[in-house]
Amino acid sequence: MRSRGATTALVLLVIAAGGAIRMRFEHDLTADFRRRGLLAKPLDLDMRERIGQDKWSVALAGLRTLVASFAGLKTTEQFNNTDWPGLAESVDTTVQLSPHTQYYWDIGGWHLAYNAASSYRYDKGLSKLRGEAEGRRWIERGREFYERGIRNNPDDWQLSVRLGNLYSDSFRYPDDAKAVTAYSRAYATGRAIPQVRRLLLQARARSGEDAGTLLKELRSIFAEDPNSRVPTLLSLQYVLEAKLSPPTDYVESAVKIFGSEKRALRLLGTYFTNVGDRLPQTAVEPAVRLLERKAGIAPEDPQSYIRQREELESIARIRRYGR
Amino acid sequence: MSRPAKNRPLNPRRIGVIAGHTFTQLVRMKVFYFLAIFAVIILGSNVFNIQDIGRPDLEGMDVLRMIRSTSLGTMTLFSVVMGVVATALLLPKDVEDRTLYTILAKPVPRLDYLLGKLGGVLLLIFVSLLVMDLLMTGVLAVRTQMVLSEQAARVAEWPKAEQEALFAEIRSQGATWSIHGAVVAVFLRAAVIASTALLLSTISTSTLFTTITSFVVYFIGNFQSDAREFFLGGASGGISPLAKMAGLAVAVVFPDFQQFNVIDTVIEGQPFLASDIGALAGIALFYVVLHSFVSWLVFAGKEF
Amino acid sequence: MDLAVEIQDLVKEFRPAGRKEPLRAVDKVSIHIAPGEVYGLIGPNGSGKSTTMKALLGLVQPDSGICRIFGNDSLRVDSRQDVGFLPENPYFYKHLSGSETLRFYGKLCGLRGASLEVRVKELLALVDLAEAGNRRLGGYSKGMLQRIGLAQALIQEPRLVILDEPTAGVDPVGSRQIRDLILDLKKRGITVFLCSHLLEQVQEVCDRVGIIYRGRMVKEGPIEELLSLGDQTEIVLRDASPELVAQVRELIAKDGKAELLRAGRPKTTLERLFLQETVDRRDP
Repeated sequence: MRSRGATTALVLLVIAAGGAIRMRFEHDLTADFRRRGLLAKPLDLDMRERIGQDKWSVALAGLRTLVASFAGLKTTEQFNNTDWPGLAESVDTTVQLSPHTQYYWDIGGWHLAYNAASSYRYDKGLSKLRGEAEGRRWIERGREFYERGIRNNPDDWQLSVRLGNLYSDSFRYPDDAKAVTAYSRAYATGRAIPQVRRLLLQARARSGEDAGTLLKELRSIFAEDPNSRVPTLLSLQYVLEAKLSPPTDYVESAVKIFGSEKRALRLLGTYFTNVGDRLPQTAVEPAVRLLERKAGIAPEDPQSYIRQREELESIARIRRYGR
Repeated sequence: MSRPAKNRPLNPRRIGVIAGHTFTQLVRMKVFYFLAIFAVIILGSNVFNIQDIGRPDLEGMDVLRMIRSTSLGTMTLFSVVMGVVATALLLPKDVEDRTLYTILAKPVPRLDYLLGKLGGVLLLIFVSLLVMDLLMTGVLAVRTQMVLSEQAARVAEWPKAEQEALFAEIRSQGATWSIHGAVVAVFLRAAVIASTALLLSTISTSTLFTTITSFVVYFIGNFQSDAREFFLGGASGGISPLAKMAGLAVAVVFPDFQQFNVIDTVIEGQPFLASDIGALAGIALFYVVLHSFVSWLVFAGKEF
Repeated sequence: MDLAVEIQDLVKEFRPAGRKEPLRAVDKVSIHIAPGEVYGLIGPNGSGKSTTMKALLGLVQPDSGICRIFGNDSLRVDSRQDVGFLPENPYFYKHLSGSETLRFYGKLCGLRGASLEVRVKELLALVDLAEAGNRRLGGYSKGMLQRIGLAQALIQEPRLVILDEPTAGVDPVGSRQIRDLILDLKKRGITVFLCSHLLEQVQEVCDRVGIIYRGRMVKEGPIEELLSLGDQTEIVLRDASPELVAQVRELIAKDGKAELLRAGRPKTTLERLFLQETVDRRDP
């Protein structure tokens, strides 16, 4: 019979030996999981404070995702109540708990840069100047949020696209150079859908890149993917070609690209009236005017793209703040 | 010596008898009522729908995520609580009710008894998780189909490749093999905590003590890797040898539960490889064997 | 041939919390029971009866001495193959029915299939629970529980049955049923080792008894021998008139050698012996 002391010693010895055996293996496995993003880095202390004493232990004990889900639900509630500071905190909680969920970054950044920013901008309780400043601040917060999301998920092309869209938004202090960077990053992941390459090209066009380079890229896009002959790119082709060598006959060079005068007017006209897109408009207006005249549409006609653009621009001038 | 002695320990049939009995015992304690609660929770998670916040591209995806996270969260809660409480309850109960006398008075090796008890608890958790997984899969499959058809209508005009990318993303939030792998990981973690509770319950005689201590071990186990890294992570200056030894002690004594938290990222849609599950299963088995062995060391010398 | 029970110089000490010196629960107790014998161990509460039984079953480890069942050391699992045990106030699993209980214990002993089913039926009939076999134990009366406990102890047809207070808390009728069952076992040649407070019952069923007090065996022997006092003669009369009794007294007085110890109604002699050997004992 073993004495109690001997048993205790034996038990401790076996546990220690078992612990020593597993330690290396667990260390390597954890490192492997962390490297592959399967295990999150431990929450930092600040985070633990934010979620509250009662919840952080829960969050750690295998329920991180669940807590994140509920923080996500709270976000929606705060959105409905336009509680923006609260929302900012909640979205932060969601992404800290669940840093690899693209959805949380996406919806969080969108809430901050679009919903919260607009809400402040049009807040009747604020002075116009103050509202604009607040709106701008929240747009910046949204951008930072997206940037953070991309840093956490460098392989995620969608977040970069969202950020690119945000930088390109004419109502949100566009920054075309940064939009190009964002779209390039999305494209560089190699996983992005074909549309991203087109978005990148458009951003580059907005940032005023050399027409020759852009046209080369455009042709390469067309050559690789027949589906990419979308109206915007066709119109852009017209613009870039016109930039390189101003057309002698606007209608003729338009028809060469669009196939018919009717189609040329419809697509080029739509391109022309898309004020928010801020794409280069070289030689577009004369072409539209000529095509409309040929089609028998007067510039005063409500159908006229010329008139539509004027109206849209005046509206945009009211809504657009930064430039 | 009159009859042939055939009572070696680790007799699978005898362990099976005790495990089956423990399973029946727990079932008749109405443990499966929890499955009804689970069904309510998972159906409830269906209604958490972000309604019309102007992002039609995300429509429905949040519901899938909610179903996944609430399902796996509930499974985690159930399996951990069950693993601790059932194990902590059953052993002292047998001692208190003296049913243990009648069992050990039969030709039952004590190791078989322990393994049988643990096996019964694990069987119950396994069956429960299986049922929960089936429920979750069913609900996810239906909802994924709904989201797919909703989105398909919205993106009908999109090029095929873009549609496919979107559909693939939606499907990755549905019932994937990885999410079943996560359920396996939930089970493995429950096996580790149950074997820990078994060990603690052979040391103590009070159910309350075992339960509380097991939960404490579970929570510390979620930080254990910090202590381990503290010990292993290079001899950077400023760390006293004493602190290092403390880190070593924690790392050696407490099980590492954090490595099972891969479940969280799998819920988020990360792929979970069979080799990962294999590695976790190996570790879990190691814990179960180690804890059972130590439990037996204590239990073998116990007097009733 | 091996003895059914062989306990030799068993010593068991406990170290209660907060006490320095150990408490000797069993002090050099030796018990030998031949196969087929019914042995009764009696003693006041806390005298070491249960500890002795537990040591025999391997539930506690002796500090010294040996315990064997049919030649097998009690600390070995195999020794349990030949023994059935009914603990004092057994609580079986309430969620099982009577037949499920028997099946469970039968399987633990390695029984299975048809032979197990036959055995379960047989035992339920034996303990008169055939009708209640499908009811959960939660609804059983004390006597029924004790009977199912006895059936459980017999499931693998052990050659030795150990009964710890088999009739404690059972009403007189149930108590009689259990007594009859023990007599039945005896008839079938099964060795029985029981301890009880109900001395009358022990007297009725046991071939030999041992009296244990404060961990020591103070008296042991065949019940006939223990209860007959060698130098005494008992005359029990019926309808004796006071005159006759007076005459008898006179005769005794005349004899000069013989001495009248007492005259009156006979008492349960075992009880007197029990008290004399235990609580009334001069030297502890």
